Amino acid sequence: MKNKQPKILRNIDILIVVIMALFVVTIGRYFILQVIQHSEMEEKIMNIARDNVVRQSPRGKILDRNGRELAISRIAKLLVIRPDKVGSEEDIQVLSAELSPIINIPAETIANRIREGGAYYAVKHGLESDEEAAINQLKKDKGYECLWMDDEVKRYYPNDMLAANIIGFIGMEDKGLEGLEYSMDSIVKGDVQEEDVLTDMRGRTIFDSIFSRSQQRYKGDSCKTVTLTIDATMQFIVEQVLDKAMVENQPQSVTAIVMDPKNGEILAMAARPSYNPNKFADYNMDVIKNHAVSDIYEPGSTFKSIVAGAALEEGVVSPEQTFYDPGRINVSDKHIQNWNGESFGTVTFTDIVKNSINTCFAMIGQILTGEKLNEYARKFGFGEPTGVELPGEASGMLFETDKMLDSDIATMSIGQSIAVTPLQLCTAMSAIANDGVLLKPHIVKSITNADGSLYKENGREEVRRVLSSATDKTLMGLLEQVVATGGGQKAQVKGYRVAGKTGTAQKINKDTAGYMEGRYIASFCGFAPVDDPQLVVLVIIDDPTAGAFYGGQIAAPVAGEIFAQLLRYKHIEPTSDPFADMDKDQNKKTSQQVANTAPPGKQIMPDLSGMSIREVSQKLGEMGLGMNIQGSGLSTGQSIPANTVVDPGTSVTVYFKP
Amino acid sequence: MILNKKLRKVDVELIAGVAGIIIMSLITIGSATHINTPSDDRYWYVLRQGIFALLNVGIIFFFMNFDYKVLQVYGKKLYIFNIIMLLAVMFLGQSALGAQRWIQLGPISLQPSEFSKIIMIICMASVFQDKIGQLNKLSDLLPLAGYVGIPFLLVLKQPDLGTSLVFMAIFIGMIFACGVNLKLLAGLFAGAVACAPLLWHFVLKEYQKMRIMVFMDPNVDPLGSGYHIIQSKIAIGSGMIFGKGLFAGTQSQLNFLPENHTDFIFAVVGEELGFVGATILLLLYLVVLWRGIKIAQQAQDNFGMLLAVGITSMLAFHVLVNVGMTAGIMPVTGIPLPFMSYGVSALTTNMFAVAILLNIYLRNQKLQF
Repeated sequence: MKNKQPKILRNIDILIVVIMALFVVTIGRYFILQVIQHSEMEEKIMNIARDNVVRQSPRGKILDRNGRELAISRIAKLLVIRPDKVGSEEDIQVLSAELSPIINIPAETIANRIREGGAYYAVKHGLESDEEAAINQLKKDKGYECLWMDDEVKRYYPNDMLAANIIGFIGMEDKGLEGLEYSMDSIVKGDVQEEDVLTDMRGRTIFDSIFSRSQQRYKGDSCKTVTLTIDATMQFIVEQVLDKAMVENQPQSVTAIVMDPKNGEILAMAARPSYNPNKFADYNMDVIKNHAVSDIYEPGSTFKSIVAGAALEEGVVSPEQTFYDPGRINVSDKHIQNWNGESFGTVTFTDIVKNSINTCFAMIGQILTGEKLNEYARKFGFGEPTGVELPGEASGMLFETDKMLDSDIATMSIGQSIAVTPLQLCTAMSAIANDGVLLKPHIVKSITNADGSLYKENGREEVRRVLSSATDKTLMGLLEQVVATGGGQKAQVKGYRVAGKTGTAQKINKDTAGYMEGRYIASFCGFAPVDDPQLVVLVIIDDPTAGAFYGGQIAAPVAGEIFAQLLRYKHIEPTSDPFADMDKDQNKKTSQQVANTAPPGKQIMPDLSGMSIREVSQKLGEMGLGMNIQGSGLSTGQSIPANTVVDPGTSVTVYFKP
Repeated sequence: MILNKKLRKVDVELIAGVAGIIIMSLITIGSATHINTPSDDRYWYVLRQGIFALLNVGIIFFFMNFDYKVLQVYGKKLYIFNIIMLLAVMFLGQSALGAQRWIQLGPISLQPSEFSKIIMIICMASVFQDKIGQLNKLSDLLPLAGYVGIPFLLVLKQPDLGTSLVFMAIFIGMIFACGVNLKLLAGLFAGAVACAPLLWHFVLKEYQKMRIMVFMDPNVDPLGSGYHIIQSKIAIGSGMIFGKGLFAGTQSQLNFLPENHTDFIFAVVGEELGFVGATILLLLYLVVLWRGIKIAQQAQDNFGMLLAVGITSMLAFHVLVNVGMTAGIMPVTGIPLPFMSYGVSALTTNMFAVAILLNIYLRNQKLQF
C-alpha cells in the first residue's frame, strides 16, 4: 500500500492486540471452567441428569390349599398430569375438555386440580384398556408432555366376598391393612428395586439400565406366594350356609370355623355380614374385622366339654356315676339353675352332659376345684392366643386361680364369667377330636418363593397332650350322645356319627359389664365322624332376633348342614346305613339337580364369552369354580368348553382380550 | 496455466484454517444432532451443511475470476438493495423465537440479516476509503455513523440485537483502520456508556433486557432465560481437559443443552473434546483472523484494506461473542459461530467473506511482480 499512514498501521496493530487479548481471556475462561472448576460442573451435571428410579414388583398371591387364587395383583395404568407443565389457562381448558370424555371425569374437576399446580396429579387409577389406548392416541396427536401413564400394582380379589375376613385388603402403596394382607405383609409385599439412572431432559431414562435393557415386568426376587389351609370350595359352602342362617335368625352376626383336627389346619373361617375387599372403603370396621380370632365371648355350655374332660381325666367322675340335680343351687349368693329352671332328679354323668345340666356341672366344678379347672382351661389353650397366622388375635379371659370365689368356680364350670375366642374353642374341640392332643391351628399352609421353591411349610404342630387317650374316647362318646339323643340333636347328619356340644350364653353388655336381658349368643361346637374325626365345626350366632335363641335350636342345625355338605364334599363314606327315608331325600335332591342339568356334586361349566374379568370371577365364584386370568378386557375363550360337567373347585383358564 | 498461477498465489494458511474449522463443524453437528433426530434423517443436518460448504467452495472459485475492486462500483446499489431486503423481512418475514428473521424461498429459509453483514462491509469499505486519515472531529464521523445507522436500526427493529452489534463492530473496526482519532473514539465510547440507560428503557425489548440480566446472574431465571447459560457452562465444565469423546457428551446429547448444533455448538466441542479441543478450535480461528489482518495490511488499495479489516472485525466479533457467551462471559445474543454453527445463510456469508479475503490476497501478490 502506497498511501499507508503510520497512524493507520498503528491503529491496525492496536486492533491485533485487542483481538489477541480477547482470545487469551476467552481461552483463560475455558481453562477455568474445564480444568479448575471441572469437578463442580461434573457434580452439577450428575445432579441434573441422575434420577432415582424405583421399580415395584406385584404383590405376591394368596392361594387356597388347592391353588385357587384368593388375592392376585395386576399391573394397572395410572394417568398422571404434571400441572406445572400444562401451560396457560387456555391449555388447561383444552386438555381438561379432551380428557374428560375419555376418563369420565368432569372437565371442570380436572381443570380445577390442574390450576392448583404442583408437579404430580394422579388423575385416574386402574385405567381400562380402551382408556389407555385413547390417552396414548391423544398424547401422540397433541404431543402432550405434561401427561403420561405410570405402572401401578393393583390388588384384586377375584372372589369378592369369599374369605374376605381372613384375607383382608391393602391400602395405598402396597401396604396390607387387614387380615392376612396385614399379618403377611412383609412376605407378600412386592419387591422394590432402586437404581440411579441417567435421564434426559424430559426425565426419560437412557443408557444401559435395568429399566431400559428389557421392558419385561419386574417379577420380584423375594416376594412370595402364600398358600392357605383354607379350601375355597368349603369356605364357599360354609358362607352359603351362614347366609341362610342370617336370614333365618336375623342375628347381629354369625361366625363359623371349620378345622381339620388331625393337623390343626383351618379349612374355612367365615363371618356374616361380611364385605367385599375390592371395595373395602364402602364398609365399616364391624364387618371387616375377623370375629373368629379378635372377638371374645362367653362360651357358655360348649365349655362344658372342657370341664367334662377335666373331671374325667382327674377321675372325679365316671360316665355312669349318679348325681342328684336339685334344679337350682346357691353358691356364695349366686343362683345356678338349669336352662328350663326344672330339676332332672337323679341323673348319671352322661345325662348331665347330654342335657347340659348346669347345677350338676357347678357341683362337679366344686369337686374338681378352681385350680384344676383353670389348669385344664389353660392346657386346652384358653387364656392365650393360639398363635395362628392371623392378626389381631385376642387372648380371652380366665380367672386368676388364687382369687377365685366359689361362685366363680360354679359359673366357670358352666362356661360363664370367662371369655374365649371362637378359634380357641374350636382348637380345644379339635384336641378332643384328636385323641386328646392339642395342636397349633394354622391358616397358612406354605409359602413359596418367587422361583417356585418352598420357603416355609407349616406342618402339624403338637402343643401338648391334654387328655389321655382313654379319657378322650370316653369324652367323645359323651359328646356323641349329646348329638345323638341330647341337646344337640339338630346337628345330626344322617348316616354319620356327629359329636358336639351346644351353648347358649347371655350377651354381656360391654358398657355395664352386666348380662343383657333377652340377648343371647347361641353356639355349637362339634366334630365328625366320631370314629375318625375329619372336621371340627364351630358355629356362633350372635344375638338372634327371630324368636329361637338356644344353641341346640338354631346353631346346631347350621353346624349340621355344614357337616352334611362338607362330609359329602370330602367324599367321606357314611359309617352307618343311611336311614330309609334318606334315600327318598336323596332321590328328591337328585331329581332337582337333574332339572338343573347338573349331576349331584358336580357343576356345569357356564358360557363365559363376552364377560368382563369381574363378571367371570363372580360367576365362577358362585359356582365354586376356580379361574386363571389370561390377558385383560372381555372374555374371548375358556380352556374348558361351556356345558362341560366338572367337579367343584375345578380351575378354568379364561382368555381376555381388550 | 493462469489458474495454476493463481493457485500458487492462494493464502494456504487461511484456507487450511477455514477447512479445519469446517471439518470440526461437520463432526460436531453430527454429534450434536444424531440423537435427537429421527433415525431416518439422523445425519440430515450434517449432509445439508456439508453440501452447502462444497457449493460455497465452488462460488469462491468462481469469484476468484473477478477483481474484488469491481465491488466498489456496486457500493451504492448494494446499500439500497440491503435496505429493501431488510424492510422485506420486516413485512414478509417469518418469526421465530420472538424475532422476524427468516424469509422462505422455496425449500430454503434465508436469514437476510446474515447476508446484510457482508453487504454492509462492502458498502462501508467503498464509502470509508475516501475518509482515511480524515476522521479527527465528531463532525467527520457523524455522516458515516448515519450511513451505518439506518440498516443498524432496521436490524435492531427485527429485532436482531446480535446482528446490529455486528454492524457496530464492523464500523468500529473500519474507523480504526481509517486512522480515527483515538481520543475521539474514547469520547464516543464514554458517551455511549452514558446513553446506556436510555437504550435500556426505550430500545431494548423485554427478552433482550432479560438476557442481559441473566448474563449478570444466570440464576435469576435458571429454568428460563438463564437455562442456556447454566446448561452450557455445565456442559463445558464437565468436558475437562480431553473431553468425554465425540457422541458421548451427556449434556449435549440429552437435550439438556438447547440449540446445541447452532448457537451453542461450542459447548458441544467443550464437553466432548475438552479444553484441548476447544483451544485447538480457537487457535484455528486465530489463524484465520491473523491472516485477515495480514491481508489487510498487505492490501493493494484502501478499499481492499478496509474490506479485509471489516471482514476480520466481523469474524472476530462473532467468534469472541459466541464463545464468550457459551462460557458465560458474554450475554446471549444469538450470534452464531462462523463456519461452525449449523445454518446455511451464515455459512454462505462467511465463505463469501473468505472469498473476498483470498481475492484481495491474490491481487495483492499480482501487484508485486
